[in-house]
Amino acid sequence: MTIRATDLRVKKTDTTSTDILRGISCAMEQGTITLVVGKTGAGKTTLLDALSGLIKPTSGWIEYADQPLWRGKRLNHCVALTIGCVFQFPEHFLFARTVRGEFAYSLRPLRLPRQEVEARAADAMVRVHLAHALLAASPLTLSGGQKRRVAIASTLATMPMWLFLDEPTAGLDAEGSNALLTYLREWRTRGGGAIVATHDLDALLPICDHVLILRDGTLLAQATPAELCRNPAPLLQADIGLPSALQAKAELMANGWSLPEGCLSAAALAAALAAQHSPRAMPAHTPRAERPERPSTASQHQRPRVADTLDPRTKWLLATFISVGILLTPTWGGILYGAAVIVLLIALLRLSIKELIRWLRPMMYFIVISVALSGLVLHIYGGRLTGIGFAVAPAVGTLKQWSRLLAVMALGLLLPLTTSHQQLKQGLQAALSHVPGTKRTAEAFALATALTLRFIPVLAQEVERFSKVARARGKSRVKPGRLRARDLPTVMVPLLIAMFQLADHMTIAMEARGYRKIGQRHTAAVRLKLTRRDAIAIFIGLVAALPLYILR
Amino acid sequence: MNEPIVVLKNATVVFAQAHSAGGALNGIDLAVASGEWLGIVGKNGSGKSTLAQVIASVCPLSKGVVSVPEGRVQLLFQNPEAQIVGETVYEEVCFGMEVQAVDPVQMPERAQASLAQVGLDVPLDHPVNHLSGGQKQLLNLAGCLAVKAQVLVFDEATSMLDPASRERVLEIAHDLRQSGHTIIWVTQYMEELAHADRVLALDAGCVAFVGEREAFFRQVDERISVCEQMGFTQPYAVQVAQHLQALGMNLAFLPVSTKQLVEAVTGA
Ligand SMILES: Nc1ncnc2c1ncn2[C@@H]1O[C@H](COP(=O)(O)OP(=O)(O)OP(=O)(O)O)[C@@H](O)[C@H]1O
Ligand SMILES: [Mg+2]
Repeated sequence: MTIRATDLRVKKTDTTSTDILRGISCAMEQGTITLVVGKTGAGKTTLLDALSGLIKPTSGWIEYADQPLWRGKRLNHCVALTIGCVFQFPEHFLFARTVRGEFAYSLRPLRLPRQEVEARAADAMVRVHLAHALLAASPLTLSGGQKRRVAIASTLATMPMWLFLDEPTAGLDAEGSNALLTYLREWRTRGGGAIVATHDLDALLPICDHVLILRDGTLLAQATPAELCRNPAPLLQADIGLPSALQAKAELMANGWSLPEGCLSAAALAAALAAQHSPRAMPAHTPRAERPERPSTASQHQRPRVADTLDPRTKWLLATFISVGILLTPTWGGILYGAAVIVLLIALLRLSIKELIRWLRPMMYFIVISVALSGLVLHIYGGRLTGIGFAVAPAVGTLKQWSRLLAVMALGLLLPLTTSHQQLKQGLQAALSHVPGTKRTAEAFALATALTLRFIPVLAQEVERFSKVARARGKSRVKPGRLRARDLPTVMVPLLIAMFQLADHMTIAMEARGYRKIGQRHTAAVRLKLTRRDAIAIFIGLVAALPLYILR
Repeated sequence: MNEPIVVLKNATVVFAQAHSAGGALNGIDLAVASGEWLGIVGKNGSGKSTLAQVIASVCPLSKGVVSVPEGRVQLLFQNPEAQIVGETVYEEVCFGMEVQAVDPVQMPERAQASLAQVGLDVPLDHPVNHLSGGQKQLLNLAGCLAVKAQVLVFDEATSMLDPASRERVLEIAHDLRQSGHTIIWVTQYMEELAHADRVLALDAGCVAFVGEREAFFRQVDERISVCEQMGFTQPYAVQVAQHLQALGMNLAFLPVSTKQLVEAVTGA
């Protein structure tokens, strides 16, 4: 059996239309190990995600034997069940309350009897050299390498036909990575296929059959390890670096030693060096290899948006004033006027409406449902349902209520979309600190707000992550970035735990950098200054919002 | 040897939800000299990260004492994103300074200087999430330098990076050591111990070995080295050197990285 990919292309999901991958065609055989190598950002993880069906390529074709991976917009479920994935960051993979729970989750789609699940879990734990007792431990309390081992073990337990491993040896100790290599070798002879993205050429090059070399989203070269040993040029072109043996050989040859072809074992290299060793023949001085030029990443310099030049306090003030106006306005006219102001603002700030709608979509669904429900009239006669009707007046009333909130929410979103959370925090703190005797409270409040704002995009990432987990491990058929209602109960608790964990990480990170307690003395890098621009913006904003307060 | 800058006495950490009988750290005594490069190795779960966090005063001790220069120890994690707070390069570099109440007048200059020191050449308003993993790690390092950190603790800070970026971070750390910083380097890659003055090996929360780098790698009288006893594989350069020695070619020092191997054989 073979995985065959033809002319794959993957575009970024956000507004920029750059390709992450383009023109990738390759084939992977069962019973072989394929390495995917490349610099950070070359597209290794994306290629793995595309080949394993976690994301749908923008164009191109993927086949497992003669079965297509995608049938139109739907993932081919039969194929998906033969795939096992381990993600790059094990902490993004794990979420259950115990290690045993991780196994249960991964094995659930296989519908195995209970003892079989327990047996497979125990067996996989042995394979990755973890103590059986750890099955009862919480994954959160494990060390980095232990988490990695659990992630690997819970995938091995599903006994897939194809294994996709992203950077599997990072953080593993020698024992752990040797155990993994042994497993991979053994598994290959049993006919399994593996696709491994890695930087660790020392460990994985000797055991693989085939190497795909990526550069900037394209397939620079394909080769066997033997070919790469003879001619490592593609590895250098892709700026990946060489395995130690080749690196040592290249550097020695650059210093005037002549060495035999191919990859040399330590003993062979030593023999060649000793044979040539005569102090006289030494090169006089060692030409030092020059440091390669680093390409500097220049940011596309555009004219700053108006929103970026305003003081955060101005933004807070305007957002508050307009929001209160919208909430207080009793008429449809007022609400529509408020909506118009917001649309105008979006246009002025050059924001993308699409982005805003993405955030508001759940709220909109909710509104449609509640409007429909509130208009529902059930005719009941003599204890029996005799008919269903729809009353317009209560529905419109509900719609009005919710429209106000929707408008206020949209306005609230403009703030974090145009201002960094650090700045928002600072603005809020500066504004509140004028109230005497509330300095500490102001800071706590501002910090909480800033962190909450920071968590909004993170929350979206977490949803994406659980969606990925649900697809890769739960074999759920949801679209990327979505969650099924059916997955919610199993996902909500871990999602919450994950958020706590995130908060915990954040606390450690902030503490490590010196943030010990609220109220400690600190300073601000950017001095806030209200400029004429702010004055003008406040004036225009107040005038624009005035009708909301007057039109009654 | 210089003054000790980090001192641990009987440092013990027992987690509330521990799953093994012993603690995560069991009575560690350690003194790290100012300007020293200490490598820390050990199996998964042996307590390396816990020790790193104790040194960075992020993990409280259950028993024992730790003395470090207050506010001058900074920690870098494996996942470069784990500790980023700001949204732009400038916000991120300044965060630590804000927290330590540095006079805002000094901030731009210090931010620029530390970015230059790590060789990160991007505009100050560059969004952090447009940086590569290696660049993020350098940015984190710049943030540490901006608050004039004296001790830098790297907890497997290179394990997620590609070899070129890893080499770069190692080189910068090496430069920083030359300029007087103390480096504590936790790793699973034995080659990365090439710059270490001393190596500390942890096992189940106890010090299994602490000593000079050469003593860690050198095989004495045909016996396996401490490195191998601890279950690690000797780096390629060390293996080559051992074979050379058996063939009668003695090197001036024991090379650990490929670069050192070239230096050693070329000067033999
Ligand atoms: N929050 C916690 N609660 C309970 N036990 C923990 C917690 N954090 C770590 N441990 C345990 O403490 C021990 C030491 O963990 P530590 O993270 O220091 O190991 P490590 O040497 O860094 O391992 P690795 O090489 O995998 O990163 C491990 O057995 C780990 O499972
Ligand atoms: Mg660790």
